[in-house]
Amino acid sequence: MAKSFEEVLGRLQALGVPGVIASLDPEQASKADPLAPVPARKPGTKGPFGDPHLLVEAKRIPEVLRTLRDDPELRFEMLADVTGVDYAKEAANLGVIYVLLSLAHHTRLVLRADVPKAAPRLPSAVEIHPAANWHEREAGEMLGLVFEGHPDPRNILLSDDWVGFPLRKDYEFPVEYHGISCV
Amino acid sequence: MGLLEHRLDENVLTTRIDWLINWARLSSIWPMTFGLACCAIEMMAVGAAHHDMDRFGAGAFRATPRQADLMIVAGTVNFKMAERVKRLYEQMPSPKYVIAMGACATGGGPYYKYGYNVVKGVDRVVPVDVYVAGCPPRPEALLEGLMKLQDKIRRSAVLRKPGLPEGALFVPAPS
Repeated sequence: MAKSFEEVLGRLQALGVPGVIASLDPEQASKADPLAPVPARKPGTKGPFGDPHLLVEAKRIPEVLRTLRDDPELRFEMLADVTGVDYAKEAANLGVIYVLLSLAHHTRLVLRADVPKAAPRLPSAVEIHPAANWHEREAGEMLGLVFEGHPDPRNILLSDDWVGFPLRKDYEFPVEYHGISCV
Repeated sequence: MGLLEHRLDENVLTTRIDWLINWARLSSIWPMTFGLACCAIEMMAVGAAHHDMDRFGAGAFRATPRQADLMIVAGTVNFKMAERVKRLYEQMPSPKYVIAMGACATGGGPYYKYGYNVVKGVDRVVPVDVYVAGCPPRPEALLEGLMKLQDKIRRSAVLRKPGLPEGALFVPAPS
């Protein structure tokens, strides 16, 4: 049973899951052995990248989620949230965040995948976690992420004909929508 | 027996049609069951026992615009909703009235600057009769808004020409 972040890392390392770049602090992950544990910070303190999380190769997200869900040591069977982050206007990548919860082991795990802004495509996780359906629709319309293989990729909050992605840092507010002035 | 006994000879009451119509309208303003955000919670409080909107004849919340006289826009109107608000207003039979309840419906409220999806006041979509300030307004404020609307209806002209003093039915001949 993997309780702590380090134990989860160790288990993933033992399973040899491809695509996981593990780190508490992604900048300091060892290139030679990305799954090597990084010393834990003091509880309650936050590093430059927030809470401990796994950096995962975007195209490997579904298989990593599947392993995390099905492995009896891990059992992250609930996907609590999927969201996206635009870190800065000049940043080349968008972050996609997956928050997992293991009800069996009472522990949480955060995954992050980086996708280039120029082509923000990554595979959908709906097949593994049906809960991802609406989360991915929201992240998609807000940040322009394309979740490939999503069964119903319509907008969920914005109108179908909305222009632009509101949570992008370079988003420009509309001037007029269907004859209603926006300013 | 009642208050009216022996006060009306032959049971005949004389009044002005305008007064009668306005009295009828302002005494049974049926609002539409329609809430968009937290203001709707206060609106429900106004409809409930403690504040009791029904004292003003406005407690019969109708579940369809076709039976409603009053649309209380209680909450944030976003652009996706604005078209629906407009359609609901158009489905209401005349005479119809609109109360913009709270800061959002009045002018965008806290979303005025950064709310890319918020209409900066519902009066850009439908004509508003009364604006009620607050975020959200106290139930008493909505009741006052309702009474302001009743005052407005009381002043309105159905038969007599608008602008004439109450009671005057005809335009005086130019001297």
